[in-house]
Amino acid sequence: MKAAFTVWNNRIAPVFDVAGTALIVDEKDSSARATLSLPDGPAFARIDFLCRNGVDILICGAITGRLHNYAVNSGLEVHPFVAGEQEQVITAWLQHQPFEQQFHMPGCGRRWRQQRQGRGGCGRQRPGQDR
Amino acid sequence: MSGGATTPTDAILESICDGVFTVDKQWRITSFNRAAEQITGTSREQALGQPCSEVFRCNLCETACPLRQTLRDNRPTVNRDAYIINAAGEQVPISISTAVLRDGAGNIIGGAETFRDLSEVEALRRQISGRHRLGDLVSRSPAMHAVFELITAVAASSDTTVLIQGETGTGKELAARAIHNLSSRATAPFVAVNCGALPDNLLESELFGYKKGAFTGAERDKPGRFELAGTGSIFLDEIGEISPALQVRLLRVLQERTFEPLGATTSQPCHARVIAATNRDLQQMVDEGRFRRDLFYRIQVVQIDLPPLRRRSEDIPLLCEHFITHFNKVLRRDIRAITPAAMGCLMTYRWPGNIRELENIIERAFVICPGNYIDVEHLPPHLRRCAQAAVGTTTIDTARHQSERELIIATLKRTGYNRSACARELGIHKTTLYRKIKALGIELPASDGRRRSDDIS
Repeated sequence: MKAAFTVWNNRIAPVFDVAGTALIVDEKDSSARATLSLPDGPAFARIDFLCRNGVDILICGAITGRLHNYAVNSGLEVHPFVAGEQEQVITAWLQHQPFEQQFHMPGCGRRWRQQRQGRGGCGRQRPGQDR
Repeated sequence: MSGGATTPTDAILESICDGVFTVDKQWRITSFNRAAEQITGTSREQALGQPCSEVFRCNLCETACPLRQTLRDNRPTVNRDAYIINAAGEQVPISISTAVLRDGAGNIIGGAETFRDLSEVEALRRQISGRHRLGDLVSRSPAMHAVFELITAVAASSDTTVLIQGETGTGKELAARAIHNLSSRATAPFVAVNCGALPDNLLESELFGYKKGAFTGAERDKPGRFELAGTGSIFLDEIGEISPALQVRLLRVLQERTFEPLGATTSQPCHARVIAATNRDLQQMVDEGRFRRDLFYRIQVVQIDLPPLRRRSEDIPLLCEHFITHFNKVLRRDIRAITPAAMGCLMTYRWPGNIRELENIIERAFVICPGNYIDVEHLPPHLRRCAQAAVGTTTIDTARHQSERELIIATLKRTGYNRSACARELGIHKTTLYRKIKALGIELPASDGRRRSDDIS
């Protein structure tokens, strides 16, 4: 399984829609990492680009609901609204730790748990519901 | 603000409707007012001490943070347009202003950012422009407004299968997305499949999926597009390209509302609405026996015909404006308009590639044009040639003037530029001839038929 972590300043990039760089990590060989520059232009093109590069899982920061749906429809398993130091997040993912509670973006914790239960949970929650 | 409204400044910040937060030099949030909580969907307790980019989630954070620029240049930013993604995953349009934050001794201790929620302004703007817009379709043509009405009606009936017909580049997928987004299925996925892009066996596994072991290399179950669409919509583009065998399978899905993944022993229910599209004449294909009649009637419950761009040329300026706004945003340019001469070229062209071709031509002009206005020289040569050829034949008046001009010049030459003789030969009064000579810009020689050269000497 190959996962793409969108990164910026050694942390998970805050907004996937405009993220410039993705770090590709293979679960089978975590030492073999690749850094990809994501294409400019429409945000949907970033998803297509990741799919073309054989990515199965996307771990990213904030992502708009439409883009999230597009990613899921394209066959990606999406873990949105993740925040934290990139190495800590990658380690947690490689060790199958339940990192979603530790590394969620401020104000987006409950969404994470909903997201794990099924697709389409990200953009469905009303603002402030998790407070 | 960090603990509660205790000082007059805190009380003021709590009462205003603009979001305000401050950061220290490490970009950690040190205060966060109530409006900021409402706009971002993040509580103060969750925000304090966190990196501002992870709380604010703005499209400018990574590449063009206004606060970073302010602290670097010591200059405030005022009303910069941007968007944030709130805790619900929604894009919220905002305008940002920033300032340097100093302590009592004048030392920089961080920065302050205020932001205004522009959602309502944006909604009003959309409402105004929405008169010419449905989803991503833009038009002020009466022909397209009839299509808009049909799309709105079809969207309301959320189970009806729809067939969209139109030449290439007329916006079939945009129409399908508009139907999906306006329907009660909008929150479910919209899955698009180009039936003409895949060979038959691949398309079958793409549409219906397969089970582990169904064929060599099928190491795990793979859901098909019908399954991925769930209760949403599946858009089958270029439906006219599918093979007779697949037509039978698709017919079964539409009739039974079930499908079987490759290698499966049981059927799965299909809940998705089917929207099909083609640039072919399906009725003709049916008549020629190349498309199943029963499938045709199944998918053509409602048919939407998208007119080509040449039949709605009044939309060209509006579409140009739309694409200029789009590419200014995407390519970070500041193109303001298309010059009248260039617009003239665009209006006279036939547009075989329709709106997609227009979009490509505007994008090309963005690459070539160094300034703020797209001119004739930024258009492709074939389009300029077409416009030049069209200039002389566009109106009957132009044709008549050209013909009159040629006739008068020929008669004048024959009569040695004697205007009375010329007028007589043409059967018009001499003053009419003078008027026409002047109006048509006919140049007369220095010596003409009124005065012979020997008279002068």
